[in-house]
Amino acid sequence: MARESYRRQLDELSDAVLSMGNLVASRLGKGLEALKRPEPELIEELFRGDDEVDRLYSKIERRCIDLLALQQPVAVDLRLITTAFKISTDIERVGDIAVNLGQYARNYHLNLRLLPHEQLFSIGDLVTTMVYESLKAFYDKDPRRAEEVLELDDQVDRMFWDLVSRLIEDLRGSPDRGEEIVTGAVALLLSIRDLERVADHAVNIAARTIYMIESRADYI
Amino acid sequence: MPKEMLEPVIVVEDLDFYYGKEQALRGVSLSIPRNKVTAIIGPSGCGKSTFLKTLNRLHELIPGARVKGRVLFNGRDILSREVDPVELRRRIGMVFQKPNPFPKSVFENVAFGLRVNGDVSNLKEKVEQALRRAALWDEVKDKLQRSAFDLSGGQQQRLCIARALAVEPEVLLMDEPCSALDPIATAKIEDLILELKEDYTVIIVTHNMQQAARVSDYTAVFLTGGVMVEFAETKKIFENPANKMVEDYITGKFG
Repeated sequence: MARESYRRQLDELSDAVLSMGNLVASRLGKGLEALKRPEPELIEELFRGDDEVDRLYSKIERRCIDLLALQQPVAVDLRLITTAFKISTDIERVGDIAVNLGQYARNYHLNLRLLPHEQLFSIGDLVTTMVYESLKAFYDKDPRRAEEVLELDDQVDRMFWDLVSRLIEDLRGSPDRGEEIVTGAVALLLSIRDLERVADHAVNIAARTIYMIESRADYI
Repeated sequence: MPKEMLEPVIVVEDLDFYYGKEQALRGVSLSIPRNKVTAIIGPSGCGKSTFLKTLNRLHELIPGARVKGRVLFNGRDILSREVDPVELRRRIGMVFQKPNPFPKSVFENVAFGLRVNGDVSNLKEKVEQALRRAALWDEVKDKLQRSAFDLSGGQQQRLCIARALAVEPEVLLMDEPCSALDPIATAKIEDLILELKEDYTVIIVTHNMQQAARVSDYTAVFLTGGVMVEFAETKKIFENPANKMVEDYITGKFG
């Protein structure tokens, strides 16, 4: 195959996106774990590890700029590079959300337990799966897998609004408006709002992946 | 000179070049790093080919050509009369714009320089090695005795590269080596250039800026009047050139 070094650089770009994605998805899992079991080491690791995510993000951006400037990519190669450039931002945002979960865990975890919160973890598991699946779709260039991720988004939205309604009901029915309940409610809302955002980022990754593979402008 | 540059193989100091009264290069100073690909780019008439020719004294074949300054190759000034130009050209080989095989067999083209140097022991092995290094062996191993003119243009150009490599040069000068080739043949030569830098220093003159971007580690930009305006890592030149004129040139605003 011609342009071997260039092809290798494109493969390395996909590898870099996947490893950054896998790191972020595992950090998201740790964020959820911290909400269940707020151990200080786990929370500390969430805060500390974000620098590594940012470093990988900058490296991917650098690789994309170099490839665009030096290799004149066209067609599917161009779509791969622009997709990597774009979805690495989505991945980085998911990384920030993992840090947010660490903060909620540190500040409010006990108060969460005073409210209906089990569904929070169902949403968390589902959106984590969406992130992994969208990354796999990107790496394996698998449009069907990407479509499946898009379909899961409605389910996340339903679970989100369902939990919001239950929370409102619960607060209405509760005579206690104390500090713990208020902060717990805020933490729960912030957490599920963040997780719903994670689903949106996974949807972006999946949609860009379909654009990359099938060149369908309606997925930009 | 780029700060992070490794040990240079060629150091050019304050080089002026004249074709009769016309000055083609003005005070060019440049250090070529070893085992890297350095591209020379610039608009037509900027002196880039002239510059390349001075690196193995091919300019001496041009009537009225005159140089001032120094070109140090491994520390020795090659413009000095004490340096034998034939020996110099063995150590600094050259590949031209149009493939120019000799009217001989594929084998004899590669063996030519070795025979001239009297280096005929293990000739077959040396020819094979040179053809392998030029990524041509698999395509010609069954037609070594056929005329070099039977090869395609891209193969002929790789044959010329093999011919240059057979005498084991340190530096390979390439003057627009792909301008007569189609995109596939060009891609093969570009892949080859990337492989060659493991063992050789490559200096390539090209008016195809994209090619310079793809294959080179360092880029020198010459502009009209024979002035070298910027020399830096290729990434730096194409992503963030220091000189406004270089930026205008590479973005197509002039030239």
